[in-house]
Amino acid sequence: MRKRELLKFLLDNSVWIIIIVFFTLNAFLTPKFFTLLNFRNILIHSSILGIVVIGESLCLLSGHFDLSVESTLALSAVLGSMAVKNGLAIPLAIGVMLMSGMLVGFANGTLIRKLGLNAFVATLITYIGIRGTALGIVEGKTIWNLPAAFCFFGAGNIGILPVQIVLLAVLYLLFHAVLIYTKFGRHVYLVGDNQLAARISGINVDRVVIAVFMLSGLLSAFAGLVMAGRLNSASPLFGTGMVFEAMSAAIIGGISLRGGIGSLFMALGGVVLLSSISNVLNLHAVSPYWIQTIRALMILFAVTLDSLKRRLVRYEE
Amino acid sequence: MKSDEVLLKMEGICKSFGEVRALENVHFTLSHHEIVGLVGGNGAGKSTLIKILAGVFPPDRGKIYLEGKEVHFKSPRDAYEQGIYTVHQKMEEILAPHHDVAANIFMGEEITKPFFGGLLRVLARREMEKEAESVLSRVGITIDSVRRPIVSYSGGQRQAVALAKALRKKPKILVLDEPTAALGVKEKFQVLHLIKRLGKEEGIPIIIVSHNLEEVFEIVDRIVVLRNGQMVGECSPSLATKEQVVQMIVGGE
Repeated sequence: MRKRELLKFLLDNSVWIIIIVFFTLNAFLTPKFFTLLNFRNILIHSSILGIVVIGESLCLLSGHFDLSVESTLALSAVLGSMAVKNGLAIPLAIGVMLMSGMLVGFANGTLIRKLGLNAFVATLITYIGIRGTALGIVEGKTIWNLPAAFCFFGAGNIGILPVQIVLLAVLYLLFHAVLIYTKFGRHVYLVGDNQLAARISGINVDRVVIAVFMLSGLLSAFAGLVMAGRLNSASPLFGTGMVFEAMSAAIIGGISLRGGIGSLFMALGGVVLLSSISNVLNLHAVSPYWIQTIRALMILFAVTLDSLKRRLVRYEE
Repeated sequence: MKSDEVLLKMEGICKSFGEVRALENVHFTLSHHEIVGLVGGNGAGKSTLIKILAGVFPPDRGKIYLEGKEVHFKSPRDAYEQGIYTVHQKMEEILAPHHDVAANIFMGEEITKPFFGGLLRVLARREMEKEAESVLSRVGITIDSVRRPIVSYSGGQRQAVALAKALRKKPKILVLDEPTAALGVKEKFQVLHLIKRLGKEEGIPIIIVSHNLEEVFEIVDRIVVLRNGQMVGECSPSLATKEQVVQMIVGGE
């Protein structure tokens, strides 16, 4: 029994254990890897994806998923940049961006819960449609040279810490606390674990799911603000393909596609692991194209661990 | 309240699904402190009747009175709020498998406590665990930890948790749909014993749907027989034999 519990603990925290092993190995194998500057790089590289992964994880935990995150990110960046370029005050422009994200999320949630579309179809519609809207608004062009204050979230510093890293830490702590300590968080998990039971037990499933998609949209829109700031520009092609990266990170972190299982802290592990791997490939001057292959192997490994974990806790005669 | 007073009255219930007439003019009553067994063959209308009672769908015709007042259930939630609690054959329909026992017992009704000077409210985990333990021990369910997930428990234990979840709500009527069909012999016996205790000692009115006459005779006060959507008879298990009930179920003269 003791041994079983130890094994379960190891499997539950597998991402972070892999990260420790990976970092230890590379401290010896990869020059310049084990330095503060490089850790800073890895975390900065993790920040935008990490913020999107929070929203994606919320959707996955509730038993749904959101393809539209990357399009929402691009729309938000384009809208906000257009707004500041046209003289709108920066706080208002940021308000417009966040609002656009919540609207996309509201549309997703409503299509799924009120129209009865499945999450794949509903978010495929917004995934394509919102990308198209972003492209249409600026006619495919990139907006350059944004005001410095607007770029604060993507390029600023608080003391010696880059704002992006602070944001990553604050948002993960905040949403982790929401999921673990609040009634809403518990309901997100319960809806993902057994939607029917949740409904029968009086949980307003519609409200929970729509709220989850709105949060996902909000976080993606916020990631759009960070990305525009980091690159001092806004392109309607921002984040192309990012949804697959976000899902990979969440799954590698042990969040189940069937819903109800996993934690945000582990999803963060998935993000950091993915960033570290591409960082190491960079340092070794390996073509970044190979990252896809490695990511696929990581996902395979993660789902294998997951099924092993399920077998461990299940009741047996 | 008199114990022989009628708690639930279903009057002239009719329900058709397309061409199929599932229920025809069924009258059904349940008194306080009564355990009623609802029996019948496949397609007799047992589950249709309890689904109407559980608010899954409305009857085409007929009225439902609860404590003398007419009620209309638009959804399972309505029935649940009126105190009619249904536990189905498969626990999957009522429990969240990867959540612990306490989380399941309090599903949808989590207790919270103030945090940060009352600005926010957070889950009161300890309190829920304690109360879950006390509900479980009150009904004599032995479970080693309320912190372990449902998947780690056996079918009988899961049913027991589902019952405990129902009990915490102090239901007016407990409806059990084939509560033992998915269980092994030993677990079947334990769950039956538990149901009997709930009916007799806790005084909870119970409707139990089953096609196992053995267990119906074991625990109920009254047997109601349905056949082809009609109520064809009722009897007391102490006065009738199983053979007579079987006759009513199959309809042979």
